[in-house]
Amino acid sequence: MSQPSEHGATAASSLPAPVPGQHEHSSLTKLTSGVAATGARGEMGEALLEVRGLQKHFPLTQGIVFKRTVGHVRAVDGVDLTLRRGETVGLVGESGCGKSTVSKLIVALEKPTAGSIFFKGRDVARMGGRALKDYRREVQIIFQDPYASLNPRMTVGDIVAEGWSVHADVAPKKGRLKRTQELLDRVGLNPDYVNRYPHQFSGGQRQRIGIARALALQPEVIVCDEPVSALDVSVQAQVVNLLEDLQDELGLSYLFIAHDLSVVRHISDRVAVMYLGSIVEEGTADEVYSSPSHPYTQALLSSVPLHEPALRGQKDRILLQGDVPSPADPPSGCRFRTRCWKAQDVCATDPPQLVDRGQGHPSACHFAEARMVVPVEAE
Amino acid sequence: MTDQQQLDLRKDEVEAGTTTGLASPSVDVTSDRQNSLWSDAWGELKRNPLFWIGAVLGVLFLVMAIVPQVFARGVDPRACDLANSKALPSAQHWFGYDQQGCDYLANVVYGARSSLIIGVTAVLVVLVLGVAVGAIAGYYGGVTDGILSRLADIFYALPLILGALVLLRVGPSTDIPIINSRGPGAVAIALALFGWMTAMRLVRSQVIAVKSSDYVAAARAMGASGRRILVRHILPNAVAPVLVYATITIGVLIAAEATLTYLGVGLQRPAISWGLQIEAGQDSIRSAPHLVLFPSLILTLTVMAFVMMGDALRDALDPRQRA
Amino acid sequence: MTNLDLTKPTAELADQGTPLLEVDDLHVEFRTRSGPVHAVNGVSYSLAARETLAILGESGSGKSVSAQAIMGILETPPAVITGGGIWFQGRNMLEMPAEEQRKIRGPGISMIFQDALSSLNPVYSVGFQIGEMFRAHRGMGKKEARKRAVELMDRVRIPAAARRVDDYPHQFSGGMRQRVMIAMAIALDPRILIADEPTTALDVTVQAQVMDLLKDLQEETGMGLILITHDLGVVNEVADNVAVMYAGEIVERGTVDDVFTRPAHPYTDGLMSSVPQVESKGGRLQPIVGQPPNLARIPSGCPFHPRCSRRRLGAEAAPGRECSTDVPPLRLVVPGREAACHYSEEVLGVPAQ
Repeated sequence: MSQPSEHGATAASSLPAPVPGQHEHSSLTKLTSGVAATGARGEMGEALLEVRGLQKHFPLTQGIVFKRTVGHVRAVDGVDLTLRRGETVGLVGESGCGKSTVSKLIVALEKPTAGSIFFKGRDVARMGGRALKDYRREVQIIFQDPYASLNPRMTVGDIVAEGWSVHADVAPKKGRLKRTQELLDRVGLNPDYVNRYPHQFSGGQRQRIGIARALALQPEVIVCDEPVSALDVSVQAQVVNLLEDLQDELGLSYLFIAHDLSVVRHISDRVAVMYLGSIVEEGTADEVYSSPSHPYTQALLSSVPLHEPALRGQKDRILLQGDVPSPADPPSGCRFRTRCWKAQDVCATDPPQLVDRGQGHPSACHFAEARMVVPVEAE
Repeated sequence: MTDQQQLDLRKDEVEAGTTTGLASPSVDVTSDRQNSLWSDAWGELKRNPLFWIGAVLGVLFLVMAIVPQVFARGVDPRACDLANSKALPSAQHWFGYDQQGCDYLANVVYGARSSLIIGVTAVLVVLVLGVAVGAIAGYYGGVTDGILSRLADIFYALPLILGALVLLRVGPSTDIPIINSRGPGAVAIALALFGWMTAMRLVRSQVIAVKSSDYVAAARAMGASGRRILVRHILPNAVAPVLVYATITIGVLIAAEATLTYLGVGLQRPAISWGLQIEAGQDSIRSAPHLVLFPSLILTLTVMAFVMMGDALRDALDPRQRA
Repeated sequence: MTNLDLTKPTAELADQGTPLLEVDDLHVEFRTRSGPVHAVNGVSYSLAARETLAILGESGSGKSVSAQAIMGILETPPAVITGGGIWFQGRNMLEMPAEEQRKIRGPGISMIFQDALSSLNPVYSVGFQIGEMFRAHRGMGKKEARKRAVELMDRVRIPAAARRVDDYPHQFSGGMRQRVMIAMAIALDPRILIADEPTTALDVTVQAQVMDLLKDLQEETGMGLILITHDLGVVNEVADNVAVMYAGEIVERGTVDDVFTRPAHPYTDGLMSSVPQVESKGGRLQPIVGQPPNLARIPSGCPFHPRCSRRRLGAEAAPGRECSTDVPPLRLVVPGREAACHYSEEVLGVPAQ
């Protein structure tokens, strides 16, 4: 009752129930028309996005007017991924492993050097004109930095509605303001804020605006590129919950790219671990976290500090030596062999395939062996 | 340790909420004002005394250029009487008389018009050239950028005054319209032709910075056309520093015009111009120092007015500097 | 107390049991054009040798400002220390002449920052920058200082230190640069090391290496460590005691084991249940509603009350414990644990005294 109004809007939004008040009904019916359409378009579990042998090499150039290529940065070097309808695939890895480049390739902001991205069976790289435009409506992206991802000179309403000026068929011109307000309401912002500018919002609120912008086109897939890592701890959970609620309501599929292993475990159905441009291990969240079989995954998990005093000191301590090699000059064979305690001669010559070696999920290590690194929380 | 401290204090200011800049975590959304960055910038400008001094002077000179009769107290600058030659300032004739015995106040006041016309025209040409070339170079990049940037470098190698001097010297012997006239148009074009490169570089770097921003990526990811991205996203965000630069440059170019005229290649008599007045006055600086003093003073004030407005504008438009 | 002797190694003093540092009711505000911003509002803590104290808080909680006040690197203006004291080995630093304060910073207290790249000078080699500490404070010659720099780089486990001593900061990776910073900070064997988000910019595997290094160095020298962070996991794995900050105040304080197992303040409690853990998938997250307050307009009463799920307002509050009007003091709730909440007993589930 004496709660200041600035907290009012977000306070309401963070409650488990979607949105209080009379907006609820109208916004949900409008938005769920998207779900109905989704349901008609395909079954849950059907593969929506299939990434096969994806590569992206950035040329290193020298020269003033006419540039000469002197080498390549192998940012993405052979990535396979499948995203099914309604699921969340987490892609984890440390900075420089190429996970952000994967996200840019998937939303067609970059062209792959080799390999393909199939969306419902069609290769995105070969799409053009109409087909590419349709694809861009179906696959949206949420960025990491809530300060850089919104145009400071546009109002929130214009930002959210921009997609409709490109894809005019999604929303008829007349009802756009109302739909913008419904979207803002749905992501937990006061619908009266349509005429405000991004700099008047906090980080968490800006991230909600970014989510509303992505939702406006009623996409099937949203690529979330580190969507919460720039936010305050107490605000991260609000955004994670919002993403989960929207997925349940609208049947969205997420490719969730992050370096925070805890958030990825929480939100993902399946997880892929990336190191130096390629995926080293993949499986359900439980498989990857409870029985990691690639040495890098094990080291990564072992480095995450635990939150329970009771579990302190119980985990396997694996401290990696040295730094990640440069993607411009990656090691031969297995990429991880230079820092691996299991490395043998074969690792320098044969790149290990990402296949199941008896652990129940694929792992790109010649000597894959499940090992519990993180203790299971004592209930 | 100073870098370290500065960085940390910067981070700290943001953390403490003492800056409501773009990086502030706790931006106030309670107030009912719904401002754009522009209206915020105006709010900031309003509180800057530098801006007000500049603006008052700027408007004063602008009005002077439009209706010089009012400021000249109704005196015709060309109504001269040699008997009054070089008379010192008096209560009736505040600026005294010049060599020909013309009222000097009227002459100085009428000089504002050509200075402002040349300054503003030259800046407009600079803006058109700079924004067009800079936007193309920044947006398309690659070889286009390489060629245009090197072209700008070549122009950079020629000093503004020297380039304009040569062009205006050679101009009258050519058939090119405007350039061969030695009028205000020729001076403006000469100045713009050798002064557009900084604006181009500014626009180019802004366009490159904005082009790689996440919100442009978001627009591209939803299928927005190149034109839409350029018009809706890139140019509005690139324009602020250019505006600042243009304001300051008006002042700089007015000074350059006076220099060219003083050197004898700019405006020619019977045009009325501060450069011409200073040039004529320098011969009798001992007997009648006011002949150099007054046009120089007004020229300096005009240049200062635009530079101050530009400085204030820069402070206002940079949201990170907003406290 | 007489003059401080900072030449003796920290390890020799370590077991005296007296606190190295006591911060007492510290107030810092920033005077801005739009009014004062209350960044630190009455913060008190103490640090003993060999102790690791974590200061846990989100952005805008004042956790860095209080550390900067201790280091004397607040820019004044706009920052003003408006009250309180900072006692280093029994002497109030705020009442010392500037010259004496400077003598404490470096050999007495030193600090490492989040962003190692911008904290190092790009035009000097790292060896020169580390050696600078010895040249400036110990009056060593160039050659001797360089030798000590190599030793220090070895100590912070920079591989091939002798070869890399003449490299420049940009030639090092993020984790290695952080080690260079640590080397500079421990060069003069400080009694206290303040680490301000030392691993926030680093990858998790590198973070583990750096935290390990800090722990080992502390073991060796016996220095006190103040760790400023927002990462609950880092606090749990590294710290002995924790002070949770919110809106420029400490809202809860105790040992990490106690606070993390059974939080006594609703904010701490909320923080714990809003953060996913790597140990388990967990159920739905329970976020804290709203967002951290603007320090220029801290809510009345308990600063956390607008976001608090346990707040009692108006008639439902006990007399003198109305959350929106009565400021809850930081008080002893159960032995060894202080919290600034009117209803901490309820949060803990113990009967009120």
